[in-house]
Amino acid sequence: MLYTVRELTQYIKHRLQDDPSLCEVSVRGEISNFTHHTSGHMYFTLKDEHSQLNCVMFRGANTKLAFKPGTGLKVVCSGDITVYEKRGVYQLTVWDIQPDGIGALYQAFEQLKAQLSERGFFDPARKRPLPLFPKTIGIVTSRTGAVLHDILNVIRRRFPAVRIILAQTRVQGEGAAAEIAGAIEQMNKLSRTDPIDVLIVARGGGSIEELWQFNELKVVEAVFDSEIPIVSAVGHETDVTICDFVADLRAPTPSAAAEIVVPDREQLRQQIAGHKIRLDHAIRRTVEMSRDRLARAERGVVHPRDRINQLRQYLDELTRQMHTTVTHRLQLRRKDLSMLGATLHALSPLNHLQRGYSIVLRAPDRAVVNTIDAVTAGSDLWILVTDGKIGCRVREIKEGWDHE
Amino acid sequence: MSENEDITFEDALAELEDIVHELEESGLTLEDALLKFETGVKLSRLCNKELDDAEMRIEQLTEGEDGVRTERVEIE
Repeated sequence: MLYTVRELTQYIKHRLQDDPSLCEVSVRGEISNFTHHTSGHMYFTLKDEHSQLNCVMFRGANTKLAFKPGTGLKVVCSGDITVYEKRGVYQLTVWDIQPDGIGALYQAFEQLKAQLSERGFFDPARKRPLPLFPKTIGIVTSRTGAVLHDILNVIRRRFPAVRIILAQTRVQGEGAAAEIAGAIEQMNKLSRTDPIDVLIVARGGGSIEELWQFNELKVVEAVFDSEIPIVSAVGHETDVTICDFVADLRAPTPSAAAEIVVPDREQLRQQIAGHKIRLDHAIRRTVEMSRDRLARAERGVVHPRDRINQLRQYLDELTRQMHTTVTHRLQLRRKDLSMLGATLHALSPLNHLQRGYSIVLRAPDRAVVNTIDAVTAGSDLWILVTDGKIGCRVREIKEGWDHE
Repeated sequence: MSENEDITFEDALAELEDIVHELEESGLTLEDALLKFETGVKLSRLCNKELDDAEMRIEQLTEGEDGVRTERVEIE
């Protein structure tokens, strides 16, 4: 059988491209000879230890990539096997590239983070407050029980007065991202007619590869677009995913997410009890005050003006009383004073002197001499008379008065 | 308090707080104060009841042809 080159190539092309096992394949390998052509298309080789595969990723596909591929990166490429007739080569026409291995994942993570940050995905102003008392809580998490069990336990213990809406999805492996994103979208769809107050997106701990679905653009965008506030709890405390950054709040663990979302029943009970005590106090005081007011009212039901007039009169009366008292007291005082003067006058020693008596004082200490014991012979004395004093010296002392 | 028995826990608690403040400010007449007090006691009872007899209800999200729905599930 004789073919032209073109005929044979076309035959091979159809054989390859019609083979369902060569459509939508995923191939793992390392990128080499990477070029990003000015046309926007990407050309590279995917290789492992044994083989090489030519790859092309057209502009339309590669602008959707969340990270920049490059030589040396380990990746998983998804696409179809096609034939480039002009050069007679088969190649993988790539629709999507996923980073593979820690290095590539880490790089992809940083790139995606930077890219989304620029688009405002992590803007703190976008973060919404969570409701204080959610009535309906959506939970998007894995089918396997542990995480869900933890969350439900915490809610049951703290605040069981809620309705839980559950969406269980795969959380790792291919297609998981689409399921997670889909669940978030469905929750939002439901919420439009049957409001959901807050959404928990949770997953247990795992390796960076296992948590990778939560860095997928699909999931990240679903979280970003969600009308329901989202608490993200992916992995353990040290695990970080883009989903955590975009969510309204990041919880370190799924249990912590539950604690953040619902209030504590015991605390609320105490709060209510406190209010009750204050109510009792306040009403007791109000009643007592009313009782007082009543008692006061009973004592005198008087018109204010009347009361003022009464006061005024009372004041006048007081003033008058005061005047009388003062005057009276003043007169009394005056009388007292003149009486006192008379007494004083009567008692004054001057009076006695006038009447011929005199006062003898001992010169050194001016003590009144009223006995012979107060002096000795030779003592100096002063004799006080009405108009002055006479100095003398004792010559002789005799007991008893002589009749001369 | 509104006559509505469907008042949410959140609203009931907020109203209770308001009443406590109003009563403590003591600008009310005795009659009003007693009315408020009665409402406050009712509200605190309501709040406690809400906390006490609350049973968690779990529903599963399902998507059918007629859109998104939920159905009751039992999970321990």
